[in-house]
Amino acid sequence: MIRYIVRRLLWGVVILVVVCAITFILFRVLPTANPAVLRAGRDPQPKLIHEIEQILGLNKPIYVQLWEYLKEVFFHFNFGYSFYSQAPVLQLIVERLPATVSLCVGGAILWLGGGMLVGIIAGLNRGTYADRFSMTAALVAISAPEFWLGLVALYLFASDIGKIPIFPGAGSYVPFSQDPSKWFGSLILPWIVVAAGSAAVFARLMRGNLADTMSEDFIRTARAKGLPERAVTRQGVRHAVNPAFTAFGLELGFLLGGALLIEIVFNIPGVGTLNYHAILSSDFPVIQGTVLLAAMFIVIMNIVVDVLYAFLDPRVRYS
Amino acid sequence: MSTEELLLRVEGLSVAFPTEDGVVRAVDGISYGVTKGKTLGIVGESGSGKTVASLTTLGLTRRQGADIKGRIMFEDRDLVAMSEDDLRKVRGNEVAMVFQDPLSSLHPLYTVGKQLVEAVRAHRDVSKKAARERAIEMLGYVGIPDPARRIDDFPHEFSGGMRQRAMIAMALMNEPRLLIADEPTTALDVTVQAQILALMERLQRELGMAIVIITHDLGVVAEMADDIAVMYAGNIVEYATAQTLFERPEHPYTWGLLRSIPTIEGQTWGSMRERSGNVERRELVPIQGSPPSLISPPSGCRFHPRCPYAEPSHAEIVPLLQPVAEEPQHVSACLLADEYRRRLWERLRTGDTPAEAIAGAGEEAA
Repeated sequence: MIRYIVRRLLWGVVILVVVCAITFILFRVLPTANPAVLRAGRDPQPKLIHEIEQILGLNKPIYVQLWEYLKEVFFHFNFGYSFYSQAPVLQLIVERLPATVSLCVGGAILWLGGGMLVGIIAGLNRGTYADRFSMTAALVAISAPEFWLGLVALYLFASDIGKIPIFPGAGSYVPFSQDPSKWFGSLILPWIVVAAGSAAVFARLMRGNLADTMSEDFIRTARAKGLPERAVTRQGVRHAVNPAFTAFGLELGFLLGGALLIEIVFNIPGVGTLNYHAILSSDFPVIQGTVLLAAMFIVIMNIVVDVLYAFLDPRVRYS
Repeated sequence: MSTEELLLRVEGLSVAFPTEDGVVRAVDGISYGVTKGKTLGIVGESGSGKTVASLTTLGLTRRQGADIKGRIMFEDRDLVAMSEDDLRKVRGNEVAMVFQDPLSSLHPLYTVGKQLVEAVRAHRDVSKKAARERAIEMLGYVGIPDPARRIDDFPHEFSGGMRQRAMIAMALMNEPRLLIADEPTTALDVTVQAQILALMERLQRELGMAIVIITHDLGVVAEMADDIAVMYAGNIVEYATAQTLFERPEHPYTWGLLRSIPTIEGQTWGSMRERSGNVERRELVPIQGSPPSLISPPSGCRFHPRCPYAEPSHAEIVPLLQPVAEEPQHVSACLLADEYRRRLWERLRTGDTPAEAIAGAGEEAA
């Protein structure tokens, strides 16, 4: 098991290097703008631009820049400095992490809880109106782009512009440390929107698994033993949750990607908005840092999910 | 077989499942009885309704939307009319069941011990510790070595035979008076099959419970059963004591089953050989065709499309279960004349093919 985890971690590092290289090349070959020009002020002299390029190291060949960047990241844990504020990228990210973590953790809880609940109800009542309604709703949630869902949610429910103004709208985010109740209120809509798609996938998976499981032989055995139907259902859910759990690791990336857009739609000052502004202004170190952080998170979570799976299913043994 | 001794009495049981293609009459008016402490074998091909009949005994076909008619009297209680909650108290308690494939019948994510413990605690208010001790005791009793350690294993860590032993231990946790075993040996290796049958015989001897053993293999019931019911397409076509059935089978379908059991050098296995009175066979003779659709079963005698001896009128007349001449305990549903049927069997048992038997029996009559 230890060997398995170590091997997975080493592979994780390889993946991160590849992610690094891809973002690096992508934004330098196809930059949204030349960062040196953006920094040089109005009508700059070509000489000034050249000087700035030299200071930022943009005049060196790409592979040299990449190598220097990787060296700093992996050996000194230094993610560089923003082209604009000169602040360390790591510090910028850490400052904005609480908002993103709030959004993602709440979203994930709602995703798992809501998805499982709907999936179980639909799976046990296949063909009923409850099943059809929830699966249709799930299909809508899967199909709709999250930023659009976010805008619709604001249009319908935001306290400032909404038709039914019941939840705080965009720009209402308050850090947890300042006012927990306002923090909670401001995140209700973003949580729902960010969880909707993944919860829908989870619900559909859970429904299918549970419906299959309930016709398994061991469920018949459980009934033949004279267990009450509630206990029988519990055994079915226990079996059905495993494959859905695997999907959790895969869906995590989508959740994170969705969170980025939702932060922008709801104007939440998190890593997503940081990344968004960095892309608009070609702030390469910040783009790199945020992408790398997201990739690292997904790699680690997938290892965690796989290791947990061995505990969930005794038949799985890693070596 | 007087009525007072009967533990289970199935009377006119019909089970039908509505499906999109039509109503499947899986069981169509069958009656049988299980005597206290004795063994009834129900034999038939897959799709003959033998499993459905037994699942219905435990009420396990109810949630599939089955339309159930008739009575299943367990002593003086009707299991068909019983409420779901009352029936739940009978299941796994007074009547227990063992299934065909022990691997898929055990929950893969729970230890064997947990699954045994919950079987007790579903019916008895005992502590987990006491239930666990009982589980270890039962595992040892059914022949699992080192039960105190193996109880915490998962089903996939057991061998096939051990899994079936664990299933049997689970069924016996509450000392049932009736054990229904549905193809208990079919999924097992041949050597393990014999062990499991021997185990069941020993348990019956020591615990005195009645057993219904469902199988497609007459060899299995030859060892164990006191009475045998042969089912075909939802009906019982022959019903007799095991001794009688092997010595003087009356129904062409039973003949087919007897002649399709593999043997070594033309001889039947062990006690089968003794019971079937030196049947000599030159080769394995399969029953032609396949089991009929239960949505629209053949008219008249349901076996007539596959019966080598059928006459045109058999497609119209429905045969009834009737006592065989001079054998009140032996009933059979066949339209052939008794005399002719006996002559056929005399020829078949010496190794004639059905065609030879028909020719021979015809000559004798002429």
